[in-house]
Amino acid sequence: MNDSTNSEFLLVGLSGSGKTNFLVALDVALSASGDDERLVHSDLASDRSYLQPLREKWLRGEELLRTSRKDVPPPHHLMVQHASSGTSAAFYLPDLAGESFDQYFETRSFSPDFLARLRKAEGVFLFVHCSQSADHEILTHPSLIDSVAMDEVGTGGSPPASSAGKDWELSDSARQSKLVDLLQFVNEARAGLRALKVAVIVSAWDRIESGPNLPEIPRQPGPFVRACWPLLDQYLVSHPDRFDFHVFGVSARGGGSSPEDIARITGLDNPCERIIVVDGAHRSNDLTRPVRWLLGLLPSVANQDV
Amino acid sequence: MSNCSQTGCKVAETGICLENHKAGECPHLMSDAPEGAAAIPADHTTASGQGLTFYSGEKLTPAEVSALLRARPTQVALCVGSQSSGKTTFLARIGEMFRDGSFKRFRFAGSLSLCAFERATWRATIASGAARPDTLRTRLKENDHFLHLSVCPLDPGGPILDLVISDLAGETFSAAVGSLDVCTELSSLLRADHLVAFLDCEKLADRALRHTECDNIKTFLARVGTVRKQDVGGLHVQVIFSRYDCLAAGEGKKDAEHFCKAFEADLRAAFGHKFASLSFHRIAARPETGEPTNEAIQHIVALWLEIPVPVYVAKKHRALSPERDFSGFGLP
Repeated sequence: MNDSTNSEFLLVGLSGSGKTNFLVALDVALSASGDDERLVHSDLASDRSYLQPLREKWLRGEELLRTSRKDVPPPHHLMVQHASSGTSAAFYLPDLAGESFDQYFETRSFSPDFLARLRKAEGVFLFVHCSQSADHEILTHPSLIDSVAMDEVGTGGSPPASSAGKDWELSDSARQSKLVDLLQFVNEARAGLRALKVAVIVSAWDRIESGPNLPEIPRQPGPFVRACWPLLDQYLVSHPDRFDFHVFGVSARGGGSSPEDIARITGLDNPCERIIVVDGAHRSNDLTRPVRWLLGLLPSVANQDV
Repeated sequence: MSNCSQTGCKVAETGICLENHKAGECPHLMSDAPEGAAAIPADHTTASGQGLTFYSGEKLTPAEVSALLRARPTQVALCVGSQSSGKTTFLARIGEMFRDGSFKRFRFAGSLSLCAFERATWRATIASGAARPDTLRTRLKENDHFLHLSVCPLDPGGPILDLVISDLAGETFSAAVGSLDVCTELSSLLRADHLVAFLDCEKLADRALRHTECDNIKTFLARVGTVRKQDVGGLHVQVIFSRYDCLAAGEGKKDAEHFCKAFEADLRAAFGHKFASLSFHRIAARPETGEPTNEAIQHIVALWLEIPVPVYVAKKHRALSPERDFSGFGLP
């Protein structure tokens, strides 16, 4: 257990990958009592002016707005206690906007502030959203397209046959390329430091569980990342000396934003029951589980291939 | 003052940051170094203020690839062939297979040129808005610039292997066939461990064009022997019948395949004893009919990676000219 009062974890992910929902739901989860294995708040930070209104929105089942890059909130200071081991920890969690990570990729640089935090970080939550494409879809050659089928479904917004398409820009890079390049930056920025623990969070996991059961979309978080974010998975697997990673499927919101979904998730007596955390074969609504893994409080994690 | 990537920020003209960052601390400032000007040190990073600026993600410049070659054993491959013979599409397909996780013997372990791989594939993606898959041609200024890949064998515990690959612009290939001087100036040819010669099967299917296509490859290989001199014995050559779907779909398929076999025999007779190895491959990286020949493409990449890196080349040149590290790469 790390009992340093200055530990720092980073939330890393591109726009719309679920960082803020995770942070707010974690704050709620830390207030829940019950299981001694879970982490709970040992104290509250003096300044909760950013987190408190978001917490209230989350409890009402409202969707949270994306974090603004122009109004960067101060890092959240969370003080937690682990009842079963009797130890406590405190850590900072800065909620950087997804656009900031796009900018790091496009400017090919880390700001001094992020660099300093990265070098101090005990671990990273790396977010991917289960509904976002990891990569661009490759065009099928026109001669391979079933013209009858295309006529039936319509061509939608497909370009005219003469279109050469738009020129490539750095921002057009696929999400998994952006994340891998950012991890390569992280690797260089942390040269000489110990391996970084990376909790890969697959957001909106409820959509995987409620969606069609397709072989190409595994329902276990580890195999999901292997199949759907293959470049990211290969990169992390190739560098065990630099990245110690584990994959969690997380639904911090617990459902969609339809009136029915909102009625369902707000109708639960315990708001934390709407949270879904899947870790190998282990399934719970304990959002402190990924934090405990980063803190070294999960001595044996479930086999991801189960 | 550097430009800012933020819309509406006039820091370059006024020095006032839109977000009131202190000088040098804004994460949105863009490098004002001209394209290709940065000489990346061995760790590929430069300190800027208290932040860090990393590699561009584009093809590696000669200086950057020299730094990489000095840092660790790296295989060097050079792709040559006439315009539209499928060199860039072949390289794009390699990147795509790592990105979709379909490589069977190797796992992606990193790349200093992920953006260049993205660019190579872009015109073949739905997101580009292109009506049909296409590949941007390699520009002249990209000669002696390299894509980079780090990979791990799938066997646990295997070492990370580095590979840099350059594709010569079609115009330069034609010029090199016609001029020994042009060949001599190609640093990538002087340093390559693997030479990949592309024959465009669309041209091989055309009786009026096929002899020229073959003759150019044969002449180029002869020039390689002249340029590399005694060092040519360390060079592995892969001859690729590219866009093979053009032959496989044509009416005269049997005749065309017979022509390919005869040309293979001709090349073996002329060069089989000169190079470290001479092999022939049939690929269709983005065929108009059927599936891409992924197995054949992966086999070629495996050939590049599984042959031990000939470190003696570097040692020899260093011994001859220690003040010009990697003088064999043609750098000043």
